[in-house]
Amino acid sequence: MSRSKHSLKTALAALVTSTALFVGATAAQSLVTPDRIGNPDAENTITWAGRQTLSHHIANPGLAAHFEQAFQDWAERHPDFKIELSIMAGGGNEAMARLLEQTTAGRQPDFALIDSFFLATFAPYLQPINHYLSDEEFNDFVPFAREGVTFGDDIKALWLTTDVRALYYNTEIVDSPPATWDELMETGKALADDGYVAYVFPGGRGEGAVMENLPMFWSQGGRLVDEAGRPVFNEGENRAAMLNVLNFLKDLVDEGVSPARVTTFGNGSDLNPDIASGQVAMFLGGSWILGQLPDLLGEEEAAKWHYAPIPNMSSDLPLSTAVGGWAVGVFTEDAAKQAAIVDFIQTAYSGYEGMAGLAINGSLLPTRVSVAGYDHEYFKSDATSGFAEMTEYGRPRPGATIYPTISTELQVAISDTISGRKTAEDALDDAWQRVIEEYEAQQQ
Amino acid sequence: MKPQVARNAQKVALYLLMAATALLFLFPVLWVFSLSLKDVRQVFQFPPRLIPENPSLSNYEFLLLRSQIPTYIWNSMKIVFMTVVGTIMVAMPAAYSLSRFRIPRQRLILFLILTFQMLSPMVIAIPLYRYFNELNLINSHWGVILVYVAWQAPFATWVLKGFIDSIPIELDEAAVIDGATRWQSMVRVILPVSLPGLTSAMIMIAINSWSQFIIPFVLIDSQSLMPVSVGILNFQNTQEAIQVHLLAAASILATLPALAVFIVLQRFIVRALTAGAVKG
Amino acid sequence: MHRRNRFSYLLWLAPLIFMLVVFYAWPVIDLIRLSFTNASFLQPKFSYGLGSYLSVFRDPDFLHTLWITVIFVFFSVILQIGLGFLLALMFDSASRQHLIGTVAARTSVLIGWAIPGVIIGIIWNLMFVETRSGILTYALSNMGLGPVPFLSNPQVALGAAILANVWRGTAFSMILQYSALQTVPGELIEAARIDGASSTAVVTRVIMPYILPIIMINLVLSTINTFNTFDLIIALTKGGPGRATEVLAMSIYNNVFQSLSLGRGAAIAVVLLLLNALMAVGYYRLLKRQGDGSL
Repeated sequence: MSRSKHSLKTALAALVTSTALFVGATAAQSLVTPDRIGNPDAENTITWAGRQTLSHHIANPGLAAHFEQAFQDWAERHPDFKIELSIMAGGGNEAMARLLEQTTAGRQPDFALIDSFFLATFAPYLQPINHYLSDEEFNDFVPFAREGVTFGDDIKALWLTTDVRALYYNTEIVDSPPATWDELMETGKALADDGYVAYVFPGGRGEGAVMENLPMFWSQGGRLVDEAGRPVFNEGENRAAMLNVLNFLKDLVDEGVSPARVTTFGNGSDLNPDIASGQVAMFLGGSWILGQLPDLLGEEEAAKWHYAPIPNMSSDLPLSTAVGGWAVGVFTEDAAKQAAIVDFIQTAYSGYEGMAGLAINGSLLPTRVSVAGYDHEYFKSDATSGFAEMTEYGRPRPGATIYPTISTELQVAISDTISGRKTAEDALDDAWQRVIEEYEAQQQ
Repeated sequence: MKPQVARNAQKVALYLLMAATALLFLFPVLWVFSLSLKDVRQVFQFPPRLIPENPSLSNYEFLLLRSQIPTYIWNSMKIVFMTVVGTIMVAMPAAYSLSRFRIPRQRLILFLILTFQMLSPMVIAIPLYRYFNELNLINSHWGVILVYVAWQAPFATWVLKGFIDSIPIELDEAAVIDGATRWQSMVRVILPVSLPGLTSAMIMIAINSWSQFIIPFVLIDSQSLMPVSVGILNFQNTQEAIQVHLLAAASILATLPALAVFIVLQRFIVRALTAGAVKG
Repeated sequence: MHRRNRFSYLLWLAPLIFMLVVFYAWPVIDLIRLSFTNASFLQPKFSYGLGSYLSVFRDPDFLHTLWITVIFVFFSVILQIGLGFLLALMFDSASRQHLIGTVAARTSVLIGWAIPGVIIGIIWNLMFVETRSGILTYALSNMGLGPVPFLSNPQVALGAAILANVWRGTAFSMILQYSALQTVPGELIEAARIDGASSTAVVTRVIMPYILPIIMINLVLSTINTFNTFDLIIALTKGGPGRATEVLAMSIYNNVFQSLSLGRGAAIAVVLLLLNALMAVGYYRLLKRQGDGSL
């Protein structure tokens, strides 16, 4: 029968083609495996402590492809080197704690991903990489990304992408986004009366709860630590500003604008069930969430969401947001390895192309001025440029070694205040006491 | 004798109670299984449905083909296997000697051995972390296995001793008369006879080890070496991608091996759980 | 005939003793040492002193943590043992009457033991989702009951943790007591029946006293296990909201890996150690009182 012969031929052709592709693919793929990048027979081994979500392990297919391609390119350029990747487990603090333990014991990897607010803690152990970057190259980074990685005269790390926090609102439900706390309260109450979940935010045990609510403290002029890194958040005006924030968050829940379950939201992603429910009118979230909304809500619904700056206590206060992100630092003193490593980071993460790929696929924001002008629709969209503007007034978390403790204690204070277990004053004082004790212990 | 009606009523009541119990205990697992068959949108859907609209195994496909779950499960199996072997190697001689020899202060020794079982692994995990770091045993399956063996050995010794106690000493004596040493008598005579007890102990060690969390959580940093009990936490809420549906599927995958062993070999487990305590 | 060396038993015990000393005893000693320092991950140097203990005892939340742990343990254990007993009775009765499905139903209770604790935390975390897509929230709303703040209200969250722990721990209690029930001599029950005792009386006056030793052992073992619970909590609530479910083991972890303070974490761990030791002594006393020869 001619038809079956025809389909047999097609099948055979398909088989041959796919086998060829497969063989070709695996031949190329063998340079990039889950825990090795580069020629397996290379003489020089570089150890890398990475993160699942910033490597080819990530579930996001676009980002995974970007990394695989970048890693492949690097591997072909450096046949003498191979990178052994070990993925750091756990959230930010745990992973950093373990890395710190390894470092102080002298067992650190050659290079590692370091959460931006830990840079000061790791700085004494990181090697300067000034000579691998031209001035022009380095000045392409935005101010906070440059300051955060510079210690004295040394550039000790490269800041990768960043993100900001904003007030998201559903334009179908909310006409104009509130700009002050009073407006948020008023709009919120009206929406709650209409049966919506007016406003959700992280208010529980997680870095998100602190980072996303800090801007409201900062815009009042509040400071967590002074220039020397000493905690000052419970002194004078800082105390007043912090109490204002704590009490405001509590009021939001007490007045029914936000549900009590915000105390279970430690990080941005904990808001997902609420966002997906379709009942939420506004939420406090990171810039990366915009790219995830279509997955949660479908294209149509997602298109209804816009964002605005975080509401301030009063309209005369400056706009503020928190910028975060990861950086990469080099521990090894071997110059040849350093050069290979810096090339690797630039290719996949912080160079012009690398950062662009990272930003586009991960819905992240570039920290390089030039990348903002990259020729891709992602950068041309209103959404991205709006967020990029926010990075201009965004502040990073203080790079003081006491910050992790401050954050942990503030997380507890926030959720204790909202849940009513303690008054804002008591919660803040308790947090302060523990922070000061830890600070003094660290000074010895 | 109770009248037939009352007896039947009691039977019906028992059936109902058992059904209700089974439902209460199985429901959470069924719900998670249901979640594992859904995609991201369905997971957050309202109203929630126990039976998904378009059930699909795509989460499992992703996990098995493109995630580290198979690695985690393989790690768990390696660790558990070596732990079982190691623990028996350590516990069997100890149990035999405690059962057959007259040891001074036997009670005290048994008590001391048991006390170790009472200590939380958390209490030793923290100092072990520093200590292993210096010995470069962090991120090593061998390091973890050694700790597991130390952790399970006391209980295994106790259970095995209970079983060996129940074997008549005449068997040993017969072997000795035939010219065997103590060691040979243990290996050739007692070991085969205590096989059921041994199996129970091994299954218990296996299930406990599969579930152990604190020790590998503290002693292993690197994701590719983690057992599944720790690796699964990586799926719980990350910033860069929504993974709840994967978490549900991963939970089911992580439980399957232990559950399978358990259901099939339940008899031995029941025996092991009760041997030490009930026999005394 | 063989020469019995007086010390040959040592060789047999040697591997066990070696493992216990190196991997248990030594770390415990090191833990105690660490608790008297202010060691931290932030720098390699440290000094000795009572600083960590002072910091722990002066902490307003420490007493709270202890209290939370006690409540968690108390209710978990009582409920597990009570439920375990009732279920054991039920299964015992069913199996004596050869009802179909007894083993299957019994197995369903036992899966709580086969599933790793951390996954049980994940399972219940998914069950307790408080938005309307959460299955429990949905079920309750269908019955006209308002949304329950399962994990966001401090007191309810502790209750939720207890519930999850009971779901997990009933298996062990049930099987222990079920086996004990098998050892109750039939004649005793017959005799009581003949004397006209009601079913309830048979249970409370005959069965319970008979298996009381097992119940006591169950009590101690469950208490110890629950006191040391960590995996369930970290997956379910991470100790939150605030510190409402931060039991001792969780507090140790948070101090070491979140606050990066090894000294404080060690001090709290020593407290846990002492509590464990106390319970071990209690267990020993219990076993001795049973006065059997195998110990």
